[in-house]
Amino acid sequence: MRKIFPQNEKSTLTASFTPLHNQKGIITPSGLHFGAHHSGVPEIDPEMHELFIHGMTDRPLKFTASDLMRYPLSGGINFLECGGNSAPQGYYPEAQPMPLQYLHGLVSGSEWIGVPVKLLLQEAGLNPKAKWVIAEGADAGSLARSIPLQKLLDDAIIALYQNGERLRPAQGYPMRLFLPGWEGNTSIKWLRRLEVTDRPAYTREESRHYSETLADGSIEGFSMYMGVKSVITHPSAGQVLPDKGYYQVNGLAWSGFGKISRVEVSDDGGKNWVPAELEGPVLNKSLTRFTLPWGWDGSPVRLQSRAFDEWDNVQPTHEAWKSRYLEGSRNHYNAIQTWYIDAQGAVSNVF
Amino acid sequence: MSSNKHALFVIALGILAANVASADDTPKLGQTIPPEELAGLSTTVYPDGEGLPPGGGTVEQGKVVYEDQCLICHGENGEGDMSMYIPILAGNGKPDHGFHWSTGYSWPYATSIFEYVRTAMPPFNPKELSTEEIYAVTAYILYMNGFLPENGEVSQSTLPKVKMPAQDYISSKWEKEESQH
Repeated sequence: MRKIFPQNEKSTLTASFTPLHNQKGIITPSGLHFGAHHSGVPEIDPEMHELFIHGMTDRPLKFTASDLMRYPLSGGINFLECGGNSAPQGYYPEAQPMPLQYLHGLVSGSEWIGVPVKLLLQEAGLNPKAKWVIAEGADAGSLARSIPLQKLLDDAIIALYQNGERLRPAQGYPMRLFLPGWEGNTSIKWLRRLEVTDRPAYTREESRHYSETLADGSIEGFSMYMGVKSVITHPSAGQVLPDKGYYQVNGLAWSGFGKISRVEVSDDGGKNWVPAELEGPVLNKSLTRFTLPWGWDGSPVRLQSRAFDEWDNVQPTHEAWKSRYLEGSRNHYNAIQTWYIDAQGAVSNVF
Repeated sequence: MSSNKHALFVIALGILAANVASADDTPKLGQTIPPEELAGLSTTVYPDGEGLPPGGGTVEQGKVVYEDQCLICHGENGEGDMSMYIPILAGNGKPDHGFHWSTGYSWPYATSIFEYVRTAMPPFNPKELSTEEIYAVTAYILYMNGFLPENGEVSQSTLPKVKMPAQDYISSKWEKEESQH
């Protein structure tokens, strides 16, 4: 489902949200992957598109998509999450009556396959003083981010395939940067240029748009990692429990730092927690499915999940998250979600 | 019979091993970018001014560009409308709200304004303003924030010297997190 932000046709920013309430499993069908496009979705002729690598390299090189298809490919199943996912929770003083899709639908899971960026950087030959790379897309506004070189030499790929097929136009066809675990905006779609340098450029995206305001009014930028997070998708806001009795609680957990180690569920607003089962593969920087058999006695409950990762990061409470940021700061919200289930079984978003 | 099969298997393995490439090998298909393509390739502008083209513009010229190209969305005084995701260009102090921020008091470097206008503004017909118009409208945005006088101007050499207040209160979360993981 597509949501066009209400800008009276004055801006080109659009977004579509993944229907997490219909997803069971860690792979989002490619056509349902979320999208946030700052300058629309360009139509690119793959035969005309070239990737340029230049700047502090021994040789400036360019590659076509068909060149890249002949390189060693690698990748894996990873989540991708917009830095602005769950923004209504961070922004509004009161919990909004929104369904799961609009609250948390700017995260999706896919198998991403492509060429390790380090192979191309090595081929171009890196200047020893290089520390940063400016990555720029071929969209109308040339969206660009400054990326620390060490991430590109680690697990970054030029993604060519998503879930077994070539990228779709809304996901950057014919090629996108993919940075596992990092805020979605850094995985530049329609990647056109990697400029190797020794310092960040402070592009528009990293000057303010993808940064947060801390409680003291100072600004925190380059918030690359997506923090540990989980959400119960069944039951969730917008759904109704038809009767009391047995339900399987289902949800998704993820962390930009690594693997999920544990998820706990509470039905009394966080007083008591029980461990959920981690179902299926528990992968690095990936959506991870959790379940819990649960009996609902028909009385109102506050249902929550909280995730832990292998680095002992813990999902914060809403109050703890809010205390770190200035009122209105809305990016990188990863607090525990509370679903209130009333005596009629209706599920709603509460703090 | 079975020993023949075994021998064949060993020979086949040997052939395969002789053709296996190392993990670092690639087809090395990168083409050298010709100098004429390289020359106009980068539109990146750095805080120290690298990437800025020769030229400049005045606040007075910028007012004309602003009223013609920007005012319809960003408003007469750069007030924007965050309810419509139209950024506020001009502010009057350090942020007192996490979302109603202004370019003037939340972007740390004036060079970024030049770069962003050059590549992405106005949104439905980007990359059509001239270098002089971009310098001029950048000067006007700085003027609306009180960082330049009404008779002020910016140029390739002076734009990087404009001190933006956010330089004093922006930090990098990545640097903090890298030291912890």
